[in-house]
Amino acid sequence: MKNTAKKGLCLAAPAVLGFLIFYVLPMGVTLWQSVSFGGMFVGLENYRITFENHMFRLAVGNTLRFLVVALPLILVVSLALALLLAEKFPGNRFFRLILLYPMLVPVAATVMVVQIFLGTRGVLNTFLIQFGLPRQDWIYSSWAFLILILLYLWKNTGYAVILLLTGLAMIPKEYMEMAKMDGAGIWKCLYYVRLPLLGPMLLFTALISLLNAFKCFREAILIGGNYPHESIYMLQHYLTNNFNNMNYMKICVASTLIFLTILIAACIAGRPLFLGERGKKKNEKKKKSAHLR
Amino acid sequence: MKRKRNLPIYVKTMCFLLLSLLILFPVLYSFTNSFMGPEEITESYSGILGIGADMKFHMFPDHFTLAAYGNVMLDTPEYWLKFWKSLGMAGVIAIGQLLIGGMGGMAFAKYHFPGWKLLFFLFTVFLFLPVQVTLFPNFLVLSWMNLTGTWWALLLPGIFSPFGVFLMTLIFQKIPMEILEAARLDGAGTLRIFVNIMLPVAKPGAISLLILVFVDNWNMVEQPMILLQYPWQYPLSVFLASVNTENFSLQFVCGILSLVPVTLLFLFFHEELAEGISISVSR
Repeated sequence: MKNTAKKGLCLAAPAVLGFLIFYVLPMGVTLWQSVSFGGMFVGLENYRITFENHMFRLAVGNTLRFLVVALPLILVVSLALALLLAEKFPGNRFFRLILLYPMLVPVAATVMVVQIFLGTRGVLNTFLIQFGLPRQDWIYSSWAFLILILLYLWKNTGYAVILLLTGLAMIPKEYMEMAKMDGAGIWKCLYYVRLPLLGPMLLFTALISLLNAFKCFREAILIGGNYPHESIYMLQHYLTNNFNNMNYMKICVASTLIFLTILIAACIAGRPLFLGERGKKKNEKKKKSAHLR
Repeated sequence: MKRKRNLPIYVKTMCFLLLSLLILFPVLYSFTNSFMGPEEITESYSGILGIGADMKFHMFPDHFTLAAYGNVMLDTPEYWLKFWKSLGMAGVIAIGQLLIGGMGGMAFAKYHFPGWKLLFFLFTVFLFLPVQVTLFPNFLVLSWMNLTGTWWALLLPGIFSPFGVFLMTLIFQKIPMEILEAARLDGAGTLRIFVNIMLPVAKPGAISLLILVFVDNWNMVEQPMILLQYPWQYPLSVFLASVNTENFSLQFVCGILSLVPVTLLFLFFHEELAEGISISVSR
């Protein structure tokens, strides 16, 4: 028993050490800097200054807005696609692959195409002008938000679909057959059988999609530059710009706030997962002991 | 009865075919346009730079030529240098994360030590932090170590990213304990079990980790912009991202060439990738 723990510590040592040095230590430094000024403890003064900052509020608001729109959207879209792809039809496997492919495409490789189609002199505007409609500045107007959402969906739907397909495949076929025998239609089957059983997987998909949403700011920075239209000015822009202006205090406050938000969210969301795991383990142990007997 | 049922199935196939075309469109458009000569590109797309005429939909080149490919491959040594360096960097990070994260994952999945739950929880929290949040603090720590401005600044945080540990833990948890115990009874050491038993059994998962990490770092944008000092040090992904007058006629070719490694990985390993993603979550 003790031996296992020792081996475990040795195995985990490199990963944990590197993690402490390159992730936890920097975060600790940030925490300290967010409550100090010139090496002196100043309490929440830095936070007060940051909260009063217009750009910070804009960034927080936009980030939340992006998440509130993008996450439900990707869940609905990928659930619909997963339900369609769960049944066999010609080309099924091929389409799953195509959906996954954009995840691998470097953002930089598509920037040019986005510019060609949506730039001020872009294809879409040329088309609009032919119909006598006014020119739109798609990338530097509130349309940018929509473009970002679409790019996010384009890139991350495939991953979510695969996760949900796995979840659907884990639902025993008998359940669906039973429900059908009892006269439930497609929608009733979906609502009363599939969705409840898919619950944990939907949660996991939402978490992974959240993770991917934070990566989406690459697209935002590449398409709109460091100073994009204010509808897509996100926390990430705020951080980058303050870094370029050597404004470390503001970065540390914002970083700490994001960290605390995610920590609290993880504590809340992690509880059922951890408790569930514990429960499962107990079951396994029981099964094992029953088996031995 | 049967015929009636077949009809919607083909409708479905058609719909998905259209959707696929739509999804692939940006890549296809870049691909066909990469066969345009520099003059044709300048003529058609100088609108991007805010000069010249409005741009039109121009899927296929008027004159098919490999001139742009020749330009990038033969006349721009800078490009190849960046290509290979970026490839090496992403590869090293992916393999490092597999080995170090795999060992960590094995400990978290099979060799529990006191406090592992708290540590694993911490890994998970940091996994969900956006890159930028740890990036700036990381800059401070790396500059204490005199590593900013070198590629070590990209490599080290990349290798020790919590993602590897997280995914490998999920994957290794699915491996039955009996296999490990059998190997242990046969006298295999812990490292041997890791290399000869755990990794091969978890092959799809390991491959999908490699691909996901490789792709993520092949596409890295934020880290080099902060952690490196000079633009000439930038890896391919950042170099590509800046459309300017100089490289503008070569953008399509550079984009397509940057797609080659990830596309090859995808073509060869797509089954493992999809399987690995679903293994990590299945019971």
